[in-house]
Amino acid sequence: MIGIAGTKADPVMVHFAAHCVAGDVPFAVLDLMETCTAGDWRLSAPPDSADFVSGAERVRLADLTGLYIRPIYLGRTPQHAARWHGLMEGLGAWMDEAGLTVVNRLGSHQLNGYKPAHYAWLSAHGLLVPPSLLSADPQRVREFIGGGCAVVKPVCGTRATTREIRPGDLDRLASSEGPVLVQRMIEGDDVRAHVVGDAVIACRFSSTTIDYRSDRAATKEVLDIPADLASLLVTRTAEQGLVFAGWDFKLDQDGTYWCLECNPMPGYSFYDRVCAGAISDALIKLLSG
Amino acid sequence: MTQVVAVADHAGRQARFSALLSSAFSAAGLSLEFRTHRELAAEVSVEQSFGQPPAVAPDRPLLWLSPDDTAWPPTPDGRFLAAETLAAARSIALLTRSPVLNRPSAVSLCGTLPPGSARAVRGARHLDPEAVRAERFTGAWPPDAAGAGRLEVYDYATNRSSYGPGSSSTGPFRYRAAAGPARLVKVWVVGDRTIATTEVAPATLAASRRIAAWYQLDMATVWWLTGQDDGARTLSRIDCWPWDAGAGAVGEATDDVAAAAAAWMAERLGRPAEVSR
Repeated sequence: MIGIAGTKADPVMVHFAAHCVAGDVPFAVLDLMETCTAGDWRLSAPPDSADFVSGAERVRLADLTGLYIRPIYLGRTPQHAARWHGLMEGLGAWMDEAGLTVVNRLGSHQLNGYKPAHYAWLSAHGLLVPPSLLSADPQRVREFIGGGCAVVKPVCGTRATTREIRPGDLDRLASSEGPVLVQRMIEGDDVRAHVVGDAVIACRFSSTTIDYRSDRAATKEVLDIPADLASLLVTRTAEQGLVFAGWDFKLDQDGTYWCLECNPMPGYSFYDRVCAGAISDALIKLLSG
Repeated sequence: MTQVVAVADHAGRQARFSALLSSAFSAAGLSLEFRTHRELAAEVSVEQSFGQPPAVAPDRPLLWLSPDDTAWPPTPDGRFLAAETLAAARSIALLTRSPVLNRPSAVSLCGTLPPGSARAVRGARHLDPEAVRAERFTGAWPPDAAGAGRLEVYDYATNRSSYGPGSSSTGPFRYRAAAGPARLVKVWVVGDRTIATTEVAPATLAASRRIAAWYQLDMATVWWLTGQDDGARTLSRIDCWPWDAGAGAVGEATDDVAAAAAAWMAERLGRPAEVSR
């Protein structure tokens, strides 16, 4: 039985659970927010056969073949925060020592939330990464922008619509409260490749906007990426301690794949619809033991 | 003279330790300045050029001493700015090519030390199996704990530890078997040096060094319970942030710790360690 740990307010969790229902795959829901607010748990390190999480339903963890967890905190009170903290510490300690497959363990790479370090790691590990600059110095940013079109992104990995930065935006930078991260803009189609264990499932998007995710008219198709790139992604995903990751690329006119990021908790439901459920199928296979 | 930067909450929760560092670095003939995360992020740039390693400018030796500047802001905008600042500062500390004491890594804000106390202790069990206890986490106080003997309990609602649960607390809790008659011993590790204010067995000092090295920590505090009768050691806690107060407080011996940090940096900058205590 697969464990699905998250919140029913998360469309990705709902999508995966619906796919399990459609495929008649046994699963149990560990509703972490419900557990946090009104439930109970017993978690041991090392794991114990009596360990459980009780929220919408009581789940005995020893019955799970694999666990898919998306810990998204939605609490509002100090009491919620304290209970969430206790629950996450317990789950983290339990997952560290549990033998089952976990998508993904809390101890895996965190660099996606620290973009300059993330880019450096990707670049040092065989991926082509567009040049970037983190700076609070308007002159340095001006020089970077002067070298070609650039986009501005959050440093911390918070989801945001990517947009172009122009010299006129620099007046606001001078009065901003922190550094900005700018990256050379690459023209071309977008590719999202999901790695699930050893499987790679990719799709391609063509759009006239900078961020295809906001373009309803974007064309989309399943794509076979080059075998050497697929192999590299599987290796690099595992090296980050991940078994599931979403890799974002720009595919330029020369056929070069420019890596934008590796997402360790991909919101994959949108892409799964493009791929006719292939990502969910691969996750189910991975988590079924 | 090479300027060393200590990234710390130097006007707040680490003011006392920061003052000690100032004195120690001055005595060692090293220039030390203090920056918060925000100040660091405002004056350092990181450029990633095509096919090149990242360039940090200015690239200065760092003491990475603090996980954040202040308490987490109450507004969404404030939290976003705090997250941006932390992401920038962590990236700078990770990518700086000069020596960085307690350099963050891909998996942790401080060396490779896991963020949760229990995970940190459990993660060192292969180094010292007899010294690491099983841990249990519960949402409420479980009835079966009554027969489990004397327990060391951490209460997430109050952030306090005690023997047994508080009488009115609703939890959640983390607990483990209490060690027998024992005294709490704190060992500072700075590089390959160990510092303690009480007498500590050489084997415990060596075990402290192994734990710090395992988590790639240049400076750490390792807390032990040592048996009063047999000298057996039980690992209690591992810290990497030098706070002035609270559960992980730097406490005594901080003159020596600050001096050891200065010596650690002096050695890496190719200068003779002028301070030896």
